[in-house]
Amino acid sequence: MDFLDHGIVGRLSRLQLAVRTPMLGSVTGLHRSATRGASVEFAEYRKYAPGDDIKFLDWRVFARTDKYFIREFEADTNLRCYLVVDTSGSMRYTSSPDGGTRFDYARRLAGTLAHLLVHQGDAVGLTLFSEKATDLPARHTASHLRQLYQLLANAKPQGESNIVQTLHDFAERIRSRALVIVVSDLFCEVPELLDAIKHLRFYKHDVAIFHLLDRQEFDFDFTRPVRFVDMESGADLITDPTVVREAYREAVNEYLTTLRHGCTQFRIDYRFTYLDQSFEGALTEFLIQRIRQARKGGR
Amino acid sequence: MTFDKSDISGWVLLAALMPIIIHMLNRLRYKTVHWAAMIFLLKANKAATRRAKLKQYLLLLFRSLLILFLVWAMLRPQVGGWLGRAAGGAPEVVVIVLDRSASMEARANPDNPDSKRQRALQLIAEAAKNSKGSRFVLIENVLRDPLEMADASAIASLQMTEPTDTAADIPAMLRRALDYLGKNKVASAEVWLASDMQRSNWRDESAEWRDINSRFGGQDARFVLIDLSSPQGNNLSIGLKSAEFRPAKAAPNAVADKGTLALSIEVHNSGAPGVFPLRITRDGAASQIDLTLNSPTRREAMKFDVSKMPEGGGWGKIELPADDVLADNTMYFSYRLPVPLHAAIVSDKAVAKLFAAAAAPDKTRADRTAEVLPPARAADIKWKEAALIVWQAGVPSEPVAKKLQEFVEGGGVLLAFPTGGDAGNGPLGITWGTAENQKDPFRVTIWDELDGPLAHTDNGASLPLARLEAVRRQVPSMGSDSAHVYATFADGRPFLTGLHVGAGYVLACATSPEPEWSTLGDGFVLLPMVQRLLVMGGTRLAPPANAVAGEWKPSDQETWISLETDRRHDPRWHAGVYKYNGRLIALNRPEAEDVPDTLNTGEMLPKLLPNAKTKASRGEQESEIWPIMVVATMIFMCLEMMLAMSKSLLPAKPKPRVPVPGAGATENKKTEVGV
Repeated sequence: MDFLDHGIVGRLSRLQLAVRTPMLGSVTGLHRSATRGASVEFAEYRKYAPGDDIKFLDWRVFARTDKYFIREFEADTNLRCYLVVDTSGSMRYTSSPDGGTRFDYARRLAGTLAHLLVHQGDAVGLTLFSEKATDLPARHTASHLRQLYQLLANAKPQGESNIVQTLHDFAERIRSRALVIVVSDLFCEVPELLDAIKHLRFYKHDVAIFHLLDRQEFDFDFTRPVRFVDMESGADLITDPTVVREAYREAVNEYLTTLRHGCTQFRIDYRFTYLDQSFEGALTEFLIQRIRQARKGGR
Repeated sequence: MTFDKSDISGWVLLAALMPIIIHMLNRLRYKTVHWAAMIFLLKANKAATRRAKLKQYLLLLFRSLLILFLVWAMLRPQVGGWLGRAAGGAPEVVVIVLDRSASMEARANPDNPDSKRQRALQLIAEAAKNSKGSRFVLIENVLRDPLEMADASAIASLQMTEPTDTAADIPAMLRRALDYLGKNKVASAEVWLASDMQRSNWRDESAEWRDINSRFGGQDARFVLIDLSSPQGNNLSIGLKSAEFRPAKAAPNAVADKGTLALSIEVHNSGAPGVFPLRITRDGAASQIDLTLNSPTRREAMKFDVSKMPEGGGWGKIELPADDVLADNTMYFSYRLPVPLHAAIVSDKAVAKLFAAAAAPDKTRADRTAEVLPPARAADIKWKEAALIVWQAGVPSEPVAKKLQEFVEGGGVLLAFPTGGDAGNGPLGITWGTAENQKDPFRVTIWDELDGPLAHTDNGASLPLARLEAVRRQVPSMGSDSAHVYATFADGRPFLTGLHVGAGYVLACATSPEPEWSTLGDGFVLLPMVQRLLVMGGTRLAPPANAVAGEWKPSDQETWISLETDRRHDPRWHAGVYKYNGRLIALNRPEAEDVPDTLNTGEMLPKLLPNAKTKASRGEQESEIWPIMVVATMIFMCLEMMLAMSKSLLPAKPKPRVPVPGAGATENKKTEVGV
């Protein structure tokens, strides 16, 4: 697979993709479970109730207090992660003639994360969306990983983005806790996007967003009149960038500020990424920060 | 507002529109970019357009105004009013060239009784108030002497600006103005010429304009024309063509003191046809006749019996009814006993007797005499008495040629006829062509019937030149472009041509009265022609009785007194009858002043003075305001620069925060984590 750099994958394999909230996995894994289990990590005391297994009674506490307390331990479970990747026409954009497109960046990101997840024993699923979505359920087998790679390799960015509806549909379809990683340019109305994210959070999904932007899309440093053709709808607009530049930057700034504020409010792991930024560096920082947050107990 | 170069207004407009045109072209030269972040662009286009477009339009406006004012400044705009007074710089010297010819006494406009001259003086006085730092010099058309004025605003009170009955020589006046500027080494000057654009005064075909134009080009002098031309209104004018006393038959060798006064007048009517009364005053007796005018111009011959010539001569005037222009309603004349006229015929041919008979047909009359001399005795001509010399001989000897030259320059008339034979020279520069013979006679088809020796008679009858047949001719050439052809043959070759030399005339006829040449000897043409030339040459023998005001100049020692006391008369420039030492002279306006033929200012100035900084004005005097235009250009340049450099037209908003890549929404602080 062209989009997978084995050198980077090898270096990143020393890190693990952690979650910030307890998961409800089907098998034992690396991640904290929402239920009590049999791990060595003490969780809490609770009063004995009839029917409890007396082997978990803490006799020392009984000897001191003459009361029955049950000792409980944390459970470790595996993780279901869903990669939601934007394949709309706007993902073809790049300002660099010899550089990769936004979709190339997104594909490398998704492929590497999928590899890391499967190799740490977690299940990974994939949703590709533009106007409609294509889903691959979460599995943790090597054959499933190849199937995922094949799907990514065959994807062609085209059509208009329907991210809001895609996330709503996703939230309704996947109700068990999961890590949802969205990779997109997020060119949509922010309030609607935040509604969709709120919907995901309602089902206690841990949501991370990779927001991919080209530096030209922020700087907007054209000097001559330009006919802008929308990469999704094909509509065009002739304007003098020197005239609208200031207002454009204000619009971008307002959009990003609102988006950041919303993500903070709903505890979304929001990662703003320029396309000319080092892919390995961006992913390393993401993984490290998640590990740190997981150690703090998801705070 | 007027401009030095008013015919390029279209280019000025184009220059002013250049920023807008460039802007539009720039908009058309767009490149196509496939763009993903259209959501921001559409919002920005809505929001920014109002503010940014206002800024864009203001920039375009400032740039257009900048160019407009710069081009305006280069076009040297001139304005009147308070702006002109505030902005105009006064030149060191202003030379006022005032045309106060007779035609300037016409009304400036139908609603105002002021004449064009008075209007010109008002404009000049008004303009002089705005040029207080300047020195003013007046040059008028009669004396043409530069007159420095202490106070130009009082120009109307000067005697040198009073009305005259003279003509104006505009080129000569301008030459005097340029002479004055050159002589006084003036740093900056303006020449203000006030004129009604009468073509005869401007002499626009004269070669002098080339010299004037080159001198204007070499001097820092601006030419300002105060154009006072106006459409010709209803006007009647009268002019004198001739006044001649013809004595009655008297005793042999005596001149009678009674006879007939023959007047030829010309009346111009630019109004409706009609019958107009003519009031005639002659030697104190007044009479009136009615004159019917059906055409714009009528020439009228009048005859009056004179029972006894008054001592010193008689005089009179003919007046038309009053109209808008009073100055051209009166014509003066004077007459006196004619001096005896003597003709000298230089020829060794038999036809000489025919010439003598034509010059003195009645041998009993003492006022017409003729003598025939062979060419060898040409030196014996009575030079002091002769009025006409008829020459039918070869080239005169050098002494005789010199005498002939003096005779003609003194007012005499030389009439030359061919001698036959090969081409060769005649007297006083006349060149004869080769003799041509033709069985089918040469005929005269065109001749000058208004003036000259072939003009029609007093009663309006034409001379019978059409009946003249010439089987032999020898076409003369005067060797000068200013020669006047009085009559031509059917093939366009001249029959009679003449040249003004000094105060007299040299004429040459293409055929001879001899029977083998032509029928000229029949006398129907030859007699009146010779008689008229004899009278023309007679002016050298006696001072004129009638002259043109301005052209006739009394000597400084003579004190001429006007016979009319109703108004102020100055013989240097006023029409009237004047007397000095028993001698009379009647002065009238120049004929051309009554002809309504004016130049078009717009066409004339670029043609006559292409090198001069010229400006034509019909109203108030205007001043140049290019310094204001330059200042305005600078202001617009600064405004454009400030606006172009400003980030926004409105108070600047906080600069957008550049997002930090990788910053998480939950935690932005980097943490080192051991793996």
